[in-house]
Amino acid sequence: MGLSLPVLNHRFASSEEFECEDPEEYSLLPFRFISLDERRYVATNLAGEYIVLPKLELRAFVQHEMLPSSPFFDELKSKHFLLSRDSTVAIDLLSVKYRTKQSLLANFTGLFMFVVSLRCDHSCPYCQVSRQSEDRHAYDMTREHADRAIDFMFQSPSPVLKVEFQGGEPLLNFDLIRHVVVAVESRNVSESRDVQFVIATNLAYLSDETLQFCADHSILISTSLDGPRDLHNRNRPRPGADSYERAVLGIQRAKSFLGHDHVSALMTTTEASLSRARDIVDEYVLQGFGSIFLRPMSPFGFAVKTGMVRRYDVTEWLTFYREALAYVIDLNRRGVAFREEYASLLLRKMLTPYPTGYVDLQSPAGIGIGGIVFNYDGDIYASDEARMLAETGDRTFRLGSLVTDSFQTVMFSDHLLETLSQTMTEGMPMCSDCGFQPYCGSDPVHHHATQGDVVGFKPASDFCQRNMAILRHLVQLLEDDPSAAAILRSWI
Amino acid sequence: MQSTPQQFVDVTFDSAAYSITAIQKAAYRFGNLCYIRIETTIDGRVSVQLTPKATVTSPESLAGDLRNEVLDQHLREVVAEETGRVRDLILAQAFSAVSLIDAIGESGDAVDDPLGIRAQQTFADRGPIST
Repeated sequence: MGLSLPVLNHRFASSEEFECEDPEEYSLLPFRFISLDERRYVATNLAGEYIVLPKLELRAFVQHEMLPSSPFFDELKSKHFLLSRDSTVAIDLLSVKYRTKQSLLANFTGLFMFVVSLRCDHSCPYCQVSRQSEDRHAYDMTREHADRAIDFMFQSPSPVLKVEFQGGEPLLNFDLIRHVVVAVESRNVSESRDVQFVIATNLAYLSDETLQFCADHSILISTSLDGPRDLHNRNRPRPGADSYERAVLGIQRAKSFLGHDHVSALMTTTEASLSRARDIVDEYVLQGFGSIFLRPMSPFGFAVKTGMVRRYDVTEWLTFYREALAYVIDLNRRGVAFREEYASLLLRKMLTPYPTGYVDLQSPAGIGIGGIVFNYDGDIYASDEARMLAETGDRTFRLGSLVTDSFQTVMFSDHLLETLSQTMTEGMPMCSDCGFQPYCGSDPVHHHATQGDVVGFKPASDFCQRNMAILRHLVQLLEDDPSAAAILRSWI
Repeated sequence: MQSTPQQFVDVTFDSAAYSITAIQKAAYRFGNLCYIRIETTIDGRVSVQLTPKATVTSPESLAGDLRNEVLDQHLREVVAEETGRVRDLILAQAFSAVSLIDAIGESGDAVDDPLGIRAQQTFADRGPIST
């Protein structure tokens, strides 16, 4: 109808009246930037908030030539990239957000991996830990070492302690797992920490007794599932060639006994996996998992000895990752609630001020101060990868021994502190001014293993190339694909 | 720019427009693609010589990519120079022991009323009521 309301017409000025063409003085706040593509930069502030700008706009912004009428001015202000006369809270807010991001550092080490046995029934050619055959009990952790490890662990000030049983196949030394769990819980009566137990197992030896114990002590299960049966069994041979069948049966039993959310799975990408992205994701959906953690093969242990790690390069793995991620997003569009875990970690860093606690992607590096490994022989390593290196003769990241060294000598050793200091992304070439620095992390063990240098030459680093590519891909999805963006945001 | 087929690519920069640090940082990023040589010329310009490695399939784009990267490094220097002190302030404030938010107000007990913000209400027929 042609009804006009003269009162309303005169109440508000036209929108043009509110557009200010006058230059507004502004100061820059600290930020980093990197090319997103040919046309655009992605810029990040100290707290990790990001903005995508056309390249010409960023250059104008830096040169103080951006007008308030620019479509990017208000976003730059609200995300603390500039200070103007009418907004003074940016410094306070940035400080609070930055402190929030770094807040887990003060807790110190929270993840403690107990390698209760190096024995294993599987013979996976990509095995990173150089497992031993089942009958070699010399490769089991002793109670004496386990008790010393528990004492060591409780010297960490962290209010949250995660005890992760690793191997080999840890269920082959279940008696020791039982001993450690009971001892930790008994000690924790006076310590009052938030303790969580996890067993990383291939599930081939999952007895009812084990399940009952896990249920009684709220122990989480983490297993390996590389994909459908043919792919999984090809990657993970064992006597009887039934790794998949045992894993799937174990997953189903553990989920029904312990609860759906008490069982998780990881996959390792082999050359055979590269063409099976959709099949692998479908297998995870079939087994009732709500997420998958897509990870490349690590350059340690048998993966290096057998040459498996060299059978594909990072570019090929990224093609696999993008295909798998696109398929996961497509599943979400069709109503299937499913996440990719590595993307979820990065999105949490990009879209929230909260830390993730993921030790493999933090600065300073998570070695020692995020997680630590007690090996079956009583040796202490700075990370699981450090332990894997040692099994192939390189003990660079061995921090000491439970038998001879104290918490202080291990955790405050010059070797550990110097490595942490030298490899902070805030100070390393290329990392220090990288636009993705707030989201990335330091991996000195990886760079030592692949380049012979803990700092690493980032132009040749597959770690750097992989993370940059995934981050660019996520930012492009968030910027250019609204439906994918909505799905990604639901994962944090 | 000089280019000899299958040999080096030579790019020069005006040292009045770009710092040597910006040029070095930019060139560093090409270290996996090229062998790099940086020299100052007799007329005060900075010469960067890139010798592509065998794996480089499109050496003709190297000069343009390097120029863009030098510009980016220059912009980073501009930002760092302008924001260096406020960055230190933000970090110092982030790790200071003083709460940036009202610590008393956040943790105070409503009954104790540490900030004295309890309101007084007066009703005409009942007199003052403390809430």
